Amino acid sequence: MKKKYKAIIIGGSAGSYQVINKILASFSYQLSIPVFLVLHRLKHVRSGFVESLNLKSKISVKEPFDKETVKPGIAYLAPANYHMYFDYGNKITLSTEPMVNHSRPSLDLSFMAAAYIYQDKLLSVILSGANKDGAKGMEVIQKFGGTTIVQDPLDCQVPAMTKGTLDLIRPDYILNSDRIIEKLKYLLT
Amino acid sequence: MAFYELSVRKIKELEQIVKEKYGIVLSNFATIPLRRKIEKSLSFFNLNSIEELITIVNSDKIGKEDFLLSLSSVATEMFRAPSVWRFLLNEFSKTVAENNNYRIWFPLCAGGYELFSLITLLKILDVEEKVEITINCLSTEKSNLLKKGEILIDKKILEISKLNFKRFGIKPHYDWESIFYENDERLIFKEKIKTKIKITKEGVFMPPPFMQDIVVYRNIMLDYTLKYSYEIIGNIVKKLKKGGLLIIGEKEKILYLQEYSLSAINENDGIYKKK
Repeated sequence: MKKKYKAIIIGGSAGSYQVINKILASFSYQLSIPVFLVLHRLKHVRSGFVESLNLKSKISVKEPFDKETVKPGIAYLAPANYHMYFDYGNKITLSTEPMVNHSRPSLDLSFMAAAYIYQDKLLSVILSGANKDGAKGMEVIQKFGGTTIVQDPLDCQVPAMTKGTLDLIRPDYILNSDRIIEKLKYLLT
Repeated sequence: MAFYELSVRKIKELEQIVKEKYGIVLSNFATIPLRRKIEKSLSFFNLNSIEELITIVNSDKIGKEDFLLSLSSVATEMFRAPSVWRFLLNEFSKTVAENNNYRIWFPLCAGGYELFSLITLLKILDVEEKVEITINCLSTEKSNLLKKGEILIDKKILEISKLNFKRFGIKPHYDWESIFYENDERLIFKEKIKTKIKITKEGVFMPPPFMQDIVVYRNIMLDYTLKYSYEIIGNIVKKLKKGGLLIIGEKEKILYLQEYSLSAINENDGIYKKK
């Protein structure tokens, strides 16, 4: 029997933009759970990125405010220069804590927070990236029973992030970007 | 011990003891920020478990100030969100020069970076002496440094602060080096601060006696529950003059503006005005 997921979290850095766009374009208009996007980005650029992601996305992409109530069928992009956490009662909490792995937002912190709040009802994907941020977070997601999908390092433009994850865990799936899209569709229907 | 490993029961126990010993209500923090703070506190005191933290708090081995210091994790940098500082520079150029009792309140000192950013603006406009700043700062060490016109700043934050200042775009006359110098992880104003600064050890619920023209409270409420944030906002707004400005973080949003007699000047930058 397939799991009933409550949230999807997707992390990436260098080389992940195209794949994120493809994933967002592949979601159903009626997606019944929220999507959290944690992507390394320039901290001083506050506009333009959301708009570019929205161009091809079938679901609405937005940067949340602190304590914003999470709604299904919306992709919440971690704002530049903030960490993104989650809370009970379907809330997002932002943070200006110090950078982790030279990153704010940090994939590790968001993944760990999501794992704690959503436990085994979390579906996670880690994509191409230039450092190991996110690897430890994926390990925690697995520890809490969440489902882990890692983009095949051979399919990544920059494989450090996915290789770092595979050094730590044996994920549920290692897939290229097209297969990730198929797998998400399968797991979410 | 990582934040996601802490037991709910032990956190409740810590909350109870911290409230009894120090009068600090940890349940005002949102779930993950509180867990991150406890994780940080364990690392600060070099402890392996929350049980050990509960034991040392209970045994009076650490005082309130040290405990608060151990929880502190705010890491903004100077001139964060440069557009806010451009707005303030413009605002001060219009209002401070005509006002000899311009009052600004920082209900929490955090790293002192916001205060330093603001004093820089006053220096640039040459209106330092017309302003009185009240700052609530719980740390004795930070207070002592502030009195000397210094703040502690690590290399990474300094680097980002310089970049922010560059983006802020005051040049060529006001380059960083003409305003500050650095010494032993401290950032120091080259010229003495002429603004009258009152430092109080009280918390956010002890406002200064006079009505304020501006309150700066950016990114502090991120750590708190929504309920507690609203209590704070209500308290702060009471001390704001009619037409006074409340500056919060660009990702903090006040939902019930009417209740606080506030109107949004620029929500994207967290700037509100009291009606």
